[in-house]
Amino acid sequence: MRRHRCGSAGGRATAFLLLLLGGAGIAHAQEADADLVSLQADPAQWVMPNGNYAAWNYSPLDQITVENVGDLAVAWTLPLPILDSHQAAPLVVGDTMYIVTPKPNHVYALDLARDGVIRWEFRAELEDLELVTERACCGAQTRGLAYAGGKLFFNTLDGQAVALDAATGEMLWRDDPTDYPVSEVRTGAPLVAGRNVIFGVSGGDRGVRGHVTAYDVDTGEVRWRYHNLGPDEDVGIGPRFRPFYADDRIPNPALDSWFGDSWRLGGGAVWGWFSHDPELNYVYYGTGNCGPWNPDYRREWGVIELDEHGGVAAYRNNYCASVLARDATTGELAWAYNVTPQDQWDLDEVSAGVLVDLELGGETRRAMIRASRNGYFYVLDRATGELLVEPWAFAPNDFMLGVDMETGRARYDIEKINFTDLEDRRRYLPDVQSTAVAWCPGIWARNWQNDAYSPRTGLLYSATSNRCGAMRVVEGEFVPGERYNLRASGGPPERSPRGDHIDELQANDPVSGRTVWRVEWPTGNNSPVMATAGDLLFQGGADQGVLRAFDARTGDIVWTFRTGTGFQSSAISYLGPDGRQYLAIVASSRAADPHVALDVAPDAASRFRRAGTMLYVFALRE
Amino acid sequence: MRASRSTTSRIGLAALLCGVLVAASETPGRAQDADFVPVTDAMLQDPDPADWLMWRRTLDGWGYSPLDSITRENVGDLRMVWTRAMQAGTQEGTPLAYDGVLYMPNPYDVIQAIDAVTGDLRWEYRRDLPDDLDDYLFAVATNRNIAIHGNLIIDNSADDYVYALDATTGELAWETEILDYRTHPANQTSGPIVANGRVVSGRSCMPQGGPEACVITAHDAATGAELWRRRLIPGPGEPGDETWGAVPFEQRAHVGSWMVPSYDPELDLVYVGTSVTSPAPKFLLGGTANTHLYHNSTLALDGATGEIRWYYQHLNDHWDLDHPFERILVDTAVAPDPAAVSWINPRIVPGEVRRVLTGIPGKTGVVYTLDRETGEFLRATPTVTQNVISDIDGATGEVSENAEVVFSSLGQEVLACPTWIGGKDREAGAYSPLTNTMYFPLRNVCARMLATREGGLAIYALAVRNQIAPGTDQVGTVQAISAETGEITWVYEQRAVTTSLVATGGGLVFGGDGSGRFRALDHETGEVLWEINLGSPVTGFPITYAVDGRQYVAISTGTAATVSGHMLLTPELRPSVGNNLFVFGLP
Repeated sequence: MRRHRCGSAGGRATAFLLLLLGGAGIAHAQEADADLVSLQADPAQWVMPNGNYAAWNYSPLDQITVENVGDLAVAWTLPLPILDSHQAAPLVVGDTMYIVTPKPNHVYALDLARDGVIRWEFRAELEDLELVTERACCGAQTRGLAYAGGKLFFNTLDGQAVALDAATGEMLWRDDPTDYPVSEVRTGAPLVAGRNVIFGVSGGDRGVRGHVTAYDVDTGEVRWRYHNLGPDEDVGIGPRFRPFYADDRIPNPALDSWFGDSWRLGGGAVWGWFSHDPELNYVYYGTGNCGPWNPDYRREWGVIELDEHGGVAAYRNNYCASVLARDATTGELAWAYNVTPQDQWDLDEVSAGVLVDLELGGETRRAMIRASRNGYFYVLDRATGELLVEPWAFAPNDFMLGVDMETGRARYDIEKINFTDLEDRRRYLPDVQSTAVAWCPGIWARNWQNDAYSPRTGLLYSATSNRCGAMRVVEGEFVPGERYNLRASGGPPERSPRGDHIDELQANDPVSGRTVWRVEWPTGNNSPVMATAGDLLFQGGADQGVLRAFDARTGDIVWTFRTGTGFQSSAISYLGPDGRQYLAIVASSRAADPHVALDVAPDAASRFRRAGTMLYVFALRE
Repeated sequence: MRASRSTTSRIGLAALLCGVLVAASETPGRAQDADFVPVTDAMLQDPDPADWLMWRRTLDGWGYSPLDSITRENVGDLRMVWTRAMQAGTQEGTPLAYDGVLYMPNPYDVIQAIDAVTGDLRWEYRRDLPDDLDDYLFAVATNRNIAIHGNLIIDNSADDYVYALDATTGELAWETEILDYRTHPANQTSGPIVANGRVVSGRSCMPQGGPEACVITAHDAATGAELWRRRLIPGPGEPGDETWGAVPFEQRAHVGSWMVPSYDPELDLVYVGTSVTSPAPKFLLGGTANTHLYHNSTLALDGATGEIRWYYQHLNDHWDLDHPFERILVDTAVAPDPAAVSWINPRIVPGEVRRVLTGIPGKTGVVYTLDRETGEFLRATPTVTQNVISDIDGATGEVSENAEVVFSSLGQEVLACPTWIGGKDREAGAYSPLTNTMYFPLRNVCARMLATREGGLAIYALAVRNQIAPGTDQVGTVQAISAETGEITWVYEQRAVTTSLVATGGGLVFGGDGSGRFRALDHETGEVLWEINLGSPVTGFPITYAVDGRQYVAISTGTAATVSGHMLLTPELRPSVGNNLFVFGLP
């Protein structure tokens, strides 16, 4: 791999250890998550998939440092017998680690005082594993567990919301499966806020209309369920809805921005992460791509209405590919921002909204920062949804010209807009010979993989991609449970401006709007990133089958450990019962060992690639 | 986009150069094919300390490596260097280490050549096995060990072939059918040793294959041509025919040899151990007075011809207490301590150095020491609780079974100790010349055992309900036994079943257990000096090797019936399960 350093971290953000980590628990003392508000701020624990409510994926522990990380060694391992891509980071609460596997969704409780001896194992019962595996789009995964008040919460692939007694593994309650025969499944990670445990739903590539559901943590009763598309009452839009931009301050913004009843099949699933600001009492999430990809099914056929700057003025298709803020207690929508209006490039906006307080223009602003899947970096006011910094491209993007700070609209290049029929496209581009559109960043400039934010460097660390794509949108029928994209190959994609390497690890400064450093990966490598107060980043490297530690300030690789596997889940860090800092990561690969040709280079991927799923726990040698 | 934000071509170039260095350091490609030095018989008989060239490293079955850079003082610093997931299936593999390459037998005749420093794959062989093997055999996956000779990796296959791969490419060099698995099926769970250019191996013959499936074979290592085969069941006109009484030849079955031979090049004798008959209770097989040779015996075979030079029968076995385990060949003073040893040959001159065959050859856990040139009985003594042997005549070596537990009718139930999953089983012990001591993973287990034709295992006409031996709650033990005096010098005990061992020149005994722990014991005291939880039963055979002067320890995990049976007795221990190879080294 190669590393580009772009000068030192000048113009460094002033970031604060938020109120989030401080006394915000008081307001919720009576709530089920009272322990969670303090636990998520306790450096010894790792009680939610992204480490804390602010989704920092950051450990304040600093025993392991850039100087001593070379002494890191495996303390114990645990093979997980589910051979699949494992995307869920473990949780640590007290002296217990919890892990949920991909379908069929086993949950393990491991005794940290005894090097990970299994305390209990829970095996979920799925009604029809074969059918749900077939219906689950894009990898039948699960992304994590939630913990609160002695209970564990997770979703099965077929959409059951399950609560377990964290001490015994006994099931306390569960909800029936979602409508998985029509591809409504659950792959994301739930989040507990107050008395609610909140789950999303997947299936936006197969006509599922995305929604979120809050269950009472104690009883499993559904407290509310709101969709992301549709009439105001379905979406939870009422008096509390105060979006920042005029596009959204209209009646039924998630209904009237769709052609006819196209919203019913419009995607906007919720399969990534939630974050939470206990003080504002908002829960944040992003929504998946709009469906079908072919936008003619969601707007007046063959017509795109762009304003003079390229912003979509009609049929914005709210709220797929968007960011939403809801009242964590009532579910009411507080604000929403459509990141990629009328998305037609599969640009799910499901990465975590990372919540930080930033010093901007002499003021401390409560921000949400996100390196978006469309390749632009956004800094939003998390109280209002206002753009605080002009979004800028951290990865090659040629379908956008920027973001209009007046309207908040993404500005599109008309050449990158898709049309089913050539004559329609020719109305805008008289000379084009086909409906094929080639664009960057393809279907992602980053994906769901967790970012990390370090308050010490003020940088957001993300696994990013330099991809481009090409496609044609086509006509087709909706068949329940089947893929509903209505797209076809558009020939070879254009070459990425950074085409000599596919993926990067980037350190981005949300204040100055700069990529401070980046590491380039010639072969695919987009694993989640985790940061620690030892100024270390940990990221699995599928390119070489190694877990790496980086100096968070410079991007220097300071330690590696070869597992030979891929890494689809984030590392975590916690304080063991012995007072030592531990690092844990689940490494997984589905692929069996490929045949190695004799003339293959010594560093060819086929030589190190190994199958299997294994939890590795590291500590400094005593 | 905004490339100008962050990069300049100069930085890019510098980073590129730097990157090449990083990539190279992560994959130090090892010995290239052209460098491969063929393995000679001389090398097998006196291996480089850095290498591990056969199942127990040496032909004398020691399971000992002279490597001594990992010591009792620094073993606490041992750390995992790399891991590698393995093919799924019953996993009891032993890697070979030769010149920086590990050759790992995986389940189902998958063999991998792996860079011993990085864990990276060099080649992989996957044998195309017939779909119907399970119709004829019950242990298709198990692939305990392989052999190396010349430039070939040699193994027995689940479909009853012996085959050789080019050690530098993994390509099939030759293969020879041993048996037709449809007519004479045998489980090829173990691989061969190479005894002076001869590939010698045994197998577990299925009863339906009759006596002709129960053979030790020798093949030419270079060509695969069969040199000889020795049937383990006598036929009409052969010595021992009479020991089967009236049982017709074709109904004599299942006396197999399913572990790995030892070999004395000087005597040119191959030592093999054999298993029980089918059925096991002898009242069902012509009467308890018959000895049914050569079941549960040690046989010394002429390396050139396979002729039986001598045999010694350890037990007339009614309980499925096989005796196929590793034979340890040692030249040692023999001075059995009457206080420590139950049965002693009165002709022994205490202190006299003898060429012995010793160890725990069978599931009874009884230690036997024989003169390996003549087969003369020298001494024997129990270790873990056993009640099947009541006496051994020291002068003749004749074994008397305990009449109270010998079955005489169907429906009879006895408490037999140990049970058929072994006081000792296929998990190997080790011998250290530094202490002249043998170390064995043993288990305190018995069974309520029922002679029956219904339920249970029809092949043996037995059904068992296993239990921990009376008087203890510790299933797993490691016992250190002096080769000279027979004295047990220390005992390590714990709940989880213990598994295979390796002894080292650093004064360490490495071994694992069924709960997933792998540890190093002090060879003088049994004290635990280092331990790690690998999360899955430690079912493979540990080895140690060195590359460029750095010593490594390798061990593998997975599932094995010999371990899972014992784990049922300690239900509070619930490891996960995964087939993985782990390698450790000092920083």
